[in-house]
Order: sequence, then C-alpha cells, then structure tokens
Amino acid sequence: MHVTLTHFLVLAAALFVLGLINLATRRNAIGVLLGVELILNAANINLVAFSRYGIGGIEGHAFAVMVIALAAAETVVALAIVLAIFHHYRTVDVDEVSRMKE
Amino acid sequence: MEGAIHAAREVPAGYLFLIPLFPLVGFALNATVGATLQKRLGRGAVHGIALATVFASLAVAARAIWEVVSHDDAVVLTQTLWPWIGFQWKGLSLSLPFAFAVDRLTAVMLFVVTFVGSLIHVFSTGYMQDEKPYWRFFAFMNLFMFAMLVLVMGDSFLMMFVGWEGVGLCSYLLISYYYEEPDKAAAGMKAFVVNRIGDFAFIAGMALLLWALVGTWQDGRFVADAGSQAPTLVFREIEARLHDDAFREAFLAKTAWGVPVVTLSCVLFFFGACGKSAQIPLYVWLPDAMAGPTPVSALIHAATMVTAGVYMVARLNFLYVHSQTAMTVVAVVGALTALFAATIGFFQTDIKKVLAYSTVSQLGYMFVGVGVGAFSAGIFHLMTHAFFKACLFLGSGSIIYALHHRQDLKDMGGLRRVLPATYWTFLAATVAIAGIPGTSGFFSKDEILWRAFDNGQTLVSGEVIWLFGVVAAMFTAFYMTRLAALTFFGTPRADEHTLHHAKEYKRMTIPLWVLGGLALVGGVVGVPQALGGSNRFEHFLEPVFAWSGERLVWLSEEGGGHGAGLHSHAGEVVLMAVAVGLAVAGILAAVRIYRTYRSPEDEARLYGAGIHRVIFHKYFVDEGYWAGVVRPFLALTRAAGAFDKFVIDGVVNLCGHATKVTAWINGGIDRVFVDGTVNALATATIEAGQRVRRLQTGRLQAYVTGIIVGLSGLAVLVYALGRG
Amino acid sequence: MVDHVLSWMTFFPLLAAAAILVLPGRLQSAFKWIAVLGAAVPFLLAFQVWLGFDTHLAADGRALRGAAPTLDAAAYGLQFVERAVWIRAFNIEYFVGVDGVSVSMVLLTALVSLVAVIASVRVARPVEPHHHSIAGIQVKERAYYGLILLLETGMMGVFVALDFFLFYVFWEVMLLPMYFLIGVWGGPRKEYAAIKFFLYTLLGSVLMLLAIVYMYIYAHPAHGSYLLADGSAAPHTFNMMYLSYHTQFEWVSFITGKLLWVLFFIGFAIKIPMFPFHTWLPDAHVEAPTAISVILAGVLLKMGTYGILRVNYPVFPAETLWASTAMAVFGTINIVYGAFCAMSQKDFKSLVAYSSISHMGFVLLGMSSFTQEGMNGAVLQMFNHGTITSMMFILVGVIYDRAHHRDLAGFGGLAKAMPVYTGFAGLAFMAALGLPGLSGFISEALVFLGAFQTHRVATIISASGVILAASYVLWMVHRVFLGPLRKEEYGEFSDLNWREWLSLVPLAIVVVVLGFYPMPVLDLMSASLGALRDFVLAAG
Repeated sequence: MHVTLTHFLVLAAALFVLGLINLATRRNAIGVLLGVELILNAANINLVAFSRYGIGGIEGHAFAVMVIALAAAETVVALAIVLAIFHHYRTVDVDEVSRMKE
Repeated sequence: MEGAIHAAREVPAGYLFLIPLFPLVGFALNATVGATLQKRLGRGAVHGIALATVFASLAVAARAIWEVVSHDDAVVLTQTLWPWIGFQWKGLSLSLPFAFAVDRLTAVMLFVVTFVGSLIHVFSTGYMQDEKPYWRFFAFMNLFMFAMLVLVMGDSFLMMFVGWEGVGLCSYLLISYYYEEPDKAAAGMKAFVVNRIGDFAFIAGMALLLWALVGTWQDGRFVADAGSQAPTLVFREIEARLHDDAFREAFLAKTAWGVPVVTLSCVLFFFGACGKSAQIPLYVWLPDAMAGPTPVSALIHAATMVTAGVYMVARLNFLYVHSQTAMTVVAVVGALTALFAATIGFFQTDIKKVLAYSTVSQLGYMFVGVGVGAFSAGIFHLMTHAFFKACLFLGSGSIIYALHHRQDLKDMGGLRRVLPATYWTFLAATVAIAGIPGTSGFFSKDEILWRAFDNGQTLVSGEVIWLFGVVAAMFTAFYMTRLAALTFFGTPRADEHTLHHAKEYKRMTIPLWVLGGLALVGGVVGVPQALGGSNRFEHFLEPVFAWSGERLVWLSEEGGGHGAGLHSHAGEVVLMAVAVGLAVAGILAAVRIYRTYRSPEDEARLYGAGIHRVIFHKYFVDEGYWAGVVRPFLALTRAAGAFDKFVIDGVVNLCGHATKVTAWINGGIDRVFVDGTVNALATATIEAGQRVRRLQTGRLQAYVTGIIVGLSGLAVLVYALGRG
Repeated sequence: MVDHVLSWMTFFPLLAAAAILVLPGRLQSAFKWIAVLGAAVPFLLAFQVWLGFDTHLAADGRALRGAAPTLDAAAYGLQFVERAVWIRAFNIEYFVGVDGVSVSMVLLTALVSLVAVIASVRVARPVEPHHHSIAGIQVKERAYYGLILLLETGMMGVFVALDFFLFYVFWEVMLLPMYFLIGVWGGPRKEYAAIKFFLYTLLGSVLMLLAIVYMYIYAHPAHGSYLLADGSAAPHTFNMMYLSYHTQFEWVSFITGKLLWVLFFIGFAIKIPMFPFHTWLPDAHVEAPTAISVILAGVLLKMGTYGILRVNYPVFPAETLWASTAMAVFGTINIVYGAFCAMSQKDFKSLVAYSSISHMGFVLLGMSSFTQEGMNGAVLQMFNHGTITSMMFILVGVIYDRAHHRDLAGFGGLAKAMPVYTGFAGLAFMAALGLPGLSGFISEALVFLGAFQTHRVATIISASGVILAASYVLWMVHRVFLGPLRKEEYGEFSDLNWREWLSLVPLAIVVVVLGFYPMPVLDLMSASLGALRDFVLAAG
C-alpha cells in the first residue's frame, strides 16, 4: 500500500480530535496538558507531511523541530505552574482553580 | 580773523593720572581698613593716610602747574589712559578716551583745589579730632578730592560729568556725615536731589550738543551732516571744529524746536551749573548743606565744588560766546542771585548760614563775570573767593569747635580775646570779601563789576548788571561786618566755663593764617592796568579765552548788544571808587548798628517787622518749593502707585477673574452636556460589561467546549456557503 | 580649551541637576555644593567664550540679502557654532552659537546664575542673641537646586539658540522651574504670584509660537533654498539666520509683517516687562526667594529685550523702523512711570522691582534709536542692569533674613549696625541711580546721547528719570540706613556673613570696573550691533 498524504492527514486529524476531547473532558490539570501535547503533535505531523509531499524545502521540518522544542519548554513551565497550584490549593482540578475569573 | 589764534600745543604728560589717583588710594585705604586702623593705631594713622595722599597730589599738581607756566606758549598737558567709550564699527560714532588735560585754566583750578584742599585737610585733623567715625570723614574727603580733580582735569564732557556727579555724591555723603540726626541726613538728600535736577539739564545739554555735532533724523532716516565727522565730546576737539568757518556756520544754524542749538545747550549747561553752584532757582540746597561738618562747608560748599559751575561755563567759553542769549541768562541770573542771596544774609542767626548765603551771593558775582565774557575775571574771583571764604568758614569752624558745636550768634560775642588767631584771620577775610582796596576780593570783584558795566554783548544793558552787583557789594560789606561784630566784639555771651576752656590748636590756626594772608594779598596777581598793574592773572589765562574773546568782540560789533563802552582807565577808576564808597558805607552802617548785640527781636524792631520776617524766613522760598513742587510731586508718586495697583493690576486681575468666570460657565456646560454624553456612554459600557462578564466562568473546559462548538459551527457554515 | 563650549555651558547645569536628583537623601548637605559646581563650570567656560570671541566679526546683512543661504556661520557673524539636524521631518536643527548681540548675555547668565546659587546656600545658623536665621534655602534642597540648575539651562539655551524651535523649547524650559521656584519657596502670596507670572509669560509665548509657526509655513527662500546642517535642501526652516536674511514672506489675507512684529513684540514685552504688561513683576519679586529674584531681574528680563533684537530687528527690519517711535514712547513711559511707582512703594523689594521696570525702559529707548550709541547703550544697560539689580536684590535679602520684614517704614539707622552692608548697599544703589564711575552711568549716558539723535522729546522726558531715580533711591537710603536706630534689636544685627560677601563681591567688582573701563563689554557687542543697525536702516 502506498502511503499518501491523505493517510498522514487522517492520522493527524484523529490525534487532534483525541486531544481536543481530552482537553474538553479531563478535570485533572495534567490530563489537560496531555491533551494539549496531543494537539501540538497532530499539528507537527501535518507540518512534516506537507513538507514531505508539498513543493519541497525543509521549512516544515524546521517548524516541527521548533514546535517540539517549544512544547517541551511550555510543558516545563506548565508543570511548574501545576505544581505551584497544587502546593497552593492542594488539588489539580482545574474547575476548583477559578479565582482569576474575578 | 581766526587764523591768528592757534590751538594750544598738546604736550603729553604721563604723570597727570597721579594727581587724582593719590586721593583715590587714600579713599580706598580709609574706606576699607580705616576703621581698623583707627582702632589699632589711633587717629594718626587715618589722617596720616589722608594727608599724605592729598599732599602727594598737591606736589604732582605743582609739577603740572609748573610745566604749564614754564612754557611761554599755551600748552595743554594731556594724558590718555585708556579708551573709555568706543565702537568697533565702520561708521562714524562716538569715541572717547579716559583722558586728562591740563591747560592754564585747569592749572588755576588745580592750584585752588589741591592747595586749599590740603589746608582744609590739615584743619580737619584738629576740628574733627573728637569724632568717632574719624576714618569715614577722611575717606570721603579724599574721595571728594579725587572727584573734584577729575572734574577739573577731565578733557571731555563725560569725564567732567564723572567728577561733576562724584563731587555731588561726596557732598551728599559729607553733609549726611551725622546721619543719625534725621535733619542732617535729609539735608544731604536735598542737596543730592537738587543737584540732580541740574544734572538732568547737563545731560540734556550734552545730548543736544552731540546731536548738533553729528547728524539728524529726517523723515524716518538718519542723515549725517555737519561735515560728517565722528561725533566728539572732547572740549579741545569741539573748539577746534568751531574754529573752522564752514563747520561753525553749519553748527550755529542748527535749531531745535526753533531755538538755536548753541543757545539751548548753553542754557541747559548753565541750568546744570545752577544746581552745582547754587544759583537761582536751585540755590536752596546750599544753606541746608551747612549741616555737614564745618571743614566740609569750607572745602566743598565754599572753595571748590560749588565753583564747578563757574569753571564749566569758563571751560565752555567757546560755546557761550556764540549765544548772546545764553550769556545774558548767565549774567542776569548771576546778578540776581548775588543781590538776592546777599539780602538773605542780613538777618541769619546761624554763623554758617550767613556764610552760606554769602557764598551763594559771591558765586553770583562769578557768573556775572563769565556771563559778560570776562572769563578770566570770573575765574580770578573764584580763586580769591576760595581764599577768603575758606578762611571764613574755617574761622567759623574754629569758633564752633571752641563753643562745643554751638553756632548761633546769640552764643558768641567778644571772642576776639579768646580766639585771637581766628579773630585776625576772620577780619582779614571779611575786609577781603567786603572789597576794601588792596585786598584780593577788591581786585577780583571790581574787575567783574567793571567788565559788566563795560560789556557790549549781554542783551540786558551792562549798567543794570553793574548796579545789581554794586548794591550786592554794599550789602555784603554790611552783613559781613554784622557777622564779625556779633562774633568777636561786644561782651561775651557764652558761659564762663566754655570761654575758659576755649583754645586754638596749631593744626587749625596754621591753615587760617595762610588763607587769611592770601585773602589779603592774593590779589596782587591781578592788579588791573587802571591801577598801574599789569593783570598778570588775565594774561596767564589769555590763551584759553583768546579765541572766544575775539569772537565776542566780533559779535558785539555785529550788533545786538548794548555796549556802554567807557573803554578808559579813568572810567574804571570812577566805578571802583563808587563801589568802594558803597562798601565802606555798608561797613560803617553795620558798625554803627551792631556796636551792641542785637537779637532777632531787636532787629525786627529796628528794620520793621514785616521786612525782617520775610527776609528772616528767606522769602519763604523753601516753603514755596515744598508746597509748589515737593508736595505735588509726592502726591503724583502716590497717584502713580495707586494707579498701578488698582487700575493696571486691576485690569490684569479682572482679566484673571473674567477667565475664571468664563471657565466656571464653561465648566457648567461641560458637566451638563458634554460630560453627560460621555458619562452616558461610559455607563452603557459598564452595564454591558457587567452582563457579558457572566460568560466568563473561569472553567477551562467550558471555554474549550465553546471553542469546539464555535469551530464546528464555523466549519458547517463554510461548508454550507462553499456549497452554495 | 573645551570643544562645544556653548553646549557644555548650556547642559552642564542639567547634568548637575541630574546628579542631585539621583543622589541619595543622606548626601543632602552636598546638594548645594553640587549646584555651585554646576553653575561654576559654565562661569569658567564663559571666560573661554569671552577671550576667544572675535570682536570684529559681524554679519553684513545687505550682502546676505542678495545671496543664497549658506552654511558658513561666520558670514552671519556667528561664533562657537554647533549645528546638527535634530528633527528632520520638520527641518528642525540643533543650532547654537553667539554673536555680538548674545555673547554678553551668555556671560551675564553665567555670572548671575553662579551668584544666585551661592546666594541660596544655607549657612549654619549662628548663635546670636535673637537667633536670626541667616536663611538661604532651608527646605526641599534637592528640588530647589535641581530646578535652579534646570532654569540655568533654559536661560543659557535661549541666548545661544539660533533655531526658532530650539529657542522656543528653551524659552518654555525656563518657564516651568521658575513657576515652581516662586510657587514653592516663595513668600505668603506665592501661589498668586507664581500663577500670575506663569500665565502672563505663557500668554506671551503663545503669541510668539503663533508667529513662529506662521513664519515656518509661509516663509520662502529668496534665493536658492534653505540648507540643513548636512547640506541637504529644505523648503521650510526654523533657522533664525535664514529667516532674517534670506526670506520672502507670503502674506495670508489679514496677516502682515506688522502683525507678526506685534505678536513677537508683545511676547517679548511681557518679559521686559513693558508698561502696561508689567504688573506680574513686582508680585513675582516680592514673593520669590532672594536668589530667584536675582535671576528673575538679572537675566530673565533681558530675554525680552534680547528677543526683540534677535527676532524683531533682523527678521522685520522695515516694521521695526515703523514701530521705532512707539518703542521709544513705551520706553519713556517705563522709565518715568516705573520711577514714580518705585517712589510710592512701601515694600523694599517692590521698590527695587519697580526700579527694574524703570531701568529696562532705558533699554527700550536706546534700541529704538538706531544709533550706534543708543543700541550699544541699550545692550550694555542690559548687562549692567543685570549686575546692579542682582546686587540690590541680594542686599534686600540680607536685611530680610535678619529683620524678617521688608517694610521701608520699619527700618532706620542700619548704617550704624551694619557698616559693611551699608557700604555695599551704597555702591549698588548709587550704581542704580546712574552715578558716573559706576557701570550704570555709561549705559544710561550712551542711551541718552544716542536716543536724543532720533527721539528728542522722548529722550528729554526720559532724562528726568535721573532726577526720579535719585529721589527714590535716596529717600529709600534715608529711611533704611540713616537716622537713629529704629528698634533696639537692629543694633544687634550681624554684618555680612561669608556667603553674602561671596555673592556680592564679584558683582561689585564688575560694577566698578565697567564704570571706568566698559570697553571689554562694549567691544563684544559693537560690531554686531553696528551691522544690525545698518541692516535695519537699509530697510527704511
């Protein structure tokens, strides 16, 4: 079977939707973060796929690498925040932590 | 015609600056460290400095005088110290050096100022010995010497004016020497302000003259004329230009407000001289100036400063001779003052006041002299007057000192035995001022009277001027004899204790003897030809006045004057005899009346209460000035102050208040309409915000769900539209 | 020798002010010395300007008229020039330099500012029977010295700026510190005085701004085009020299040269201050602290007359001729009216303030004459009035610090208690009444001699000012110094302290020396003023 661009896009779409559902349903902050990671990687797959099948160049690859690096950094920061929230509220339930609303 | 007169030869003399510099140094020392010196080293150090500098100045002046005298031709010693006023500009503009010049006229003044000045300094060391601020007195005296020397040596109007106002300042400072007494301080102020009125005229005259010498402003453009020479205020240069016929004609043709400029400026300068030399109408300050210490009266208010006006008119002879009107004004004002002041001298009871009015009167004579064109006679009288009037004032100082600063005639009498040196010298000076033949005053006064009688250029006939002068001479003889009689003769009216302790110091008597001697014999330099003399004084000054003398002759021949023209020695002798006869009559009358003491009440009875009252109160001139000039002036200043405060500032504040009111109204409009709209908008926004705010749950999942729903909706929409 | 000397003179005080602002509060005692340094450096640099100034250089206005604009500063008689493009979009340049008209004012500013800063220094309170605090600035020293240095920058900038925009910026920079200095450290009615000063001056500068903007937009180069500092061509300019010599104006309906002339003139006349715009001055002086009065009278008033010479004369020569008589008349009113008002004052300081009004009238009269004597006399009078009046205000401050009042009727007999003070006062007040031998005389005499050639009647009336001046000065001296001691406590007043000596002596030296030898200052200005005079008259 010849793997075409469409396969990649379908995979990416599936991942994206999974991530989105994860984001929308999980109460645990870490779960939410996992959802975000899924969404990011779905986008990465798209980038690389377009780069490979598109009009050439390595911009897509470069972007993907960048996104991975950024995602790592973002995760570090996000986890630090989650830890801080946990220290403060003794919970990681995002619904409980809604003080910024005010 | 003018070709015969050569301008004086200029001889540079590098030492001239020392003459005024020495007293200036003396002033600087005494003014800065004088108080300390007096405390640490005593009064000797203070007057040591003062005397040393004045005598040093006298010595240098003597050298300058000698140099002037020793040249047979007329020379002007000059020294230019530094450029004073000048402009870097290619056009014609004023350029004045800070420079001194000594010609024969200045030499005479130098002699009078430094010689009499030195003697009075010596006298002061005795008279002032009990004063606490001794240093202040000598500092100001030295400053005065400096200013007076700049006045006589300055070679331009502006230089002269430096000295002119400088002596005025010193006069103020010394009159106010006893400044803790408000009356005396006020006398100083009066002197300064009245002098300033004269100075105003001087400045105006100077500006007018400069304008006439440069160019004029016509139809909004500046036009240089009068030969397009750079303007100047140097006496020599102005005179040299006037020697040029074309220039002179252009200059004399120039008018301002319809009056020839030369007349107007000469009258203005003379008005300045009236201030300084105490002539009508500005004489009122001089009698009050007697508030100063007596040596000051002798030096400043008799011998030197007050004669500056006479010196100035003589110095400007080359201008005055071109204006009959101005000459007439000078002579007439002089004659009137001579007579007027002499009458006031009759009944004064303060010894110094008598001498003050006498000075005013004698200054009138000098102005008669220079006003009728007898410049050298005027200067001659200036010199002899310096001798006898300084002697009289110093004598009065000696009396006042002996009587512990009492100067009313009622406390005197019979002092001839107590103060013999003062007595004899006073008597010598009295006969000199009265014009007894042989004394200095005789020669100088009769020279003036004769020349006045004989003159052909005043618009008022010479006989009238002469008559005024000769009557004034009689009055002078009368009141001076009265003064001497009430002071030295009769029974002593001072208390025993005072008389017992009264004594004369050598420091005070030596200057008296010298001045008394000169008062008697100082006239020998000017014995007129009519009495077999050769009038060497006049010949000495001739080069200075030669050109203007010729112009005078030429002008009076041109017509307009009322030449009496006796032109004979016999006539001169007759006039002298008349004058002497009147003077002797005056003396004899006074001797008869004042053989015994006459109090003011006695005098009122004797002469008639009305006359006495008017004359005793000096014709109420001071009161008149107070009511007619000073009070309106003060009212005007108050009005100006009130106008400024209430009208001008009132308008400003009104503008301020108007702005405030406008702002208030504006603010009201703003609040109701403009702000109302804005506020309504703001309120609506806030309300809306409050509602929308509910959507912000703060729940992440709710947001995400919202995003998903929104995106889905969007996708459906795009798809549907894309299909359509 | 310092490069960029004018910029250093202008901005060094600002640096010192910045230093004072950042230093910690515990160094408070050092603030005043930093301020003294900040004013002393421009003073020392002023000597460089004075000695290095080529007195022969002057603009040949008529030749410039026919030529294209050039970058050669010397052709305009300018020296120590610094020029660079500042805001290119509006052709605004940083253009500073001095010519004969401004150089003496730069020197005066440096001198008076230093004296004023010294006169502010707080002196340790001496132990005396009645504990008279010998004041100086006692509170909020940081702000005070910062502001006074900022003020110096503004003043210096006004005199060196040759670009209208720059000129206007400095003009406004100077205004604000003055407002606070009067409004914070002033007397009982300080707010009123400060607001009055501020609004009045602001009114003037608004009129000026209007005229400047008009000139920028509607002035066209007569030959060639305007040049910026880097040589590029500019269609419009704020350059004062170009606007003076190379410009044709395009008049829009009712706007004419005369209107612009009047706008500028009123702007400057308020500063002089000219009757009837003068009433802010006595109020400001009476309320301002001593040092600020010194700066106000010593320097600020000169900006008015300087501005007229710098702007009205060369930019609108024909209109200046048209207004010559009016200027002379207003000058005369200032002289006589100011003197009359001075005579009626009861407050010592307000007397001196009115005397300033009178003396500034001489400047106006002199420069309206278009004679070499008159114009030089006017600028010399600006310089001399700066030094003499500064002395007078310091002297008033001396007695106020001791007696805590300024009521003329309440003094008397101070000569006995304070002989040295009286000596300095005598010198200053005699100089003020124009006594020959002191500097004020030379300038007044020159003004009279020059002005008479043009305005005879006005000059004669003005000359009566010498009588009036003698009257109010001597009467004041009489009331304050002479007579018996009015109160016991006056007898215990201490004579001058070192700060007062230090602030008075430099001024006294200048006053005496310039009386006998005014050439150092006259030389600076005469070439430029002569050229300016010729240029203006050529327009007639």
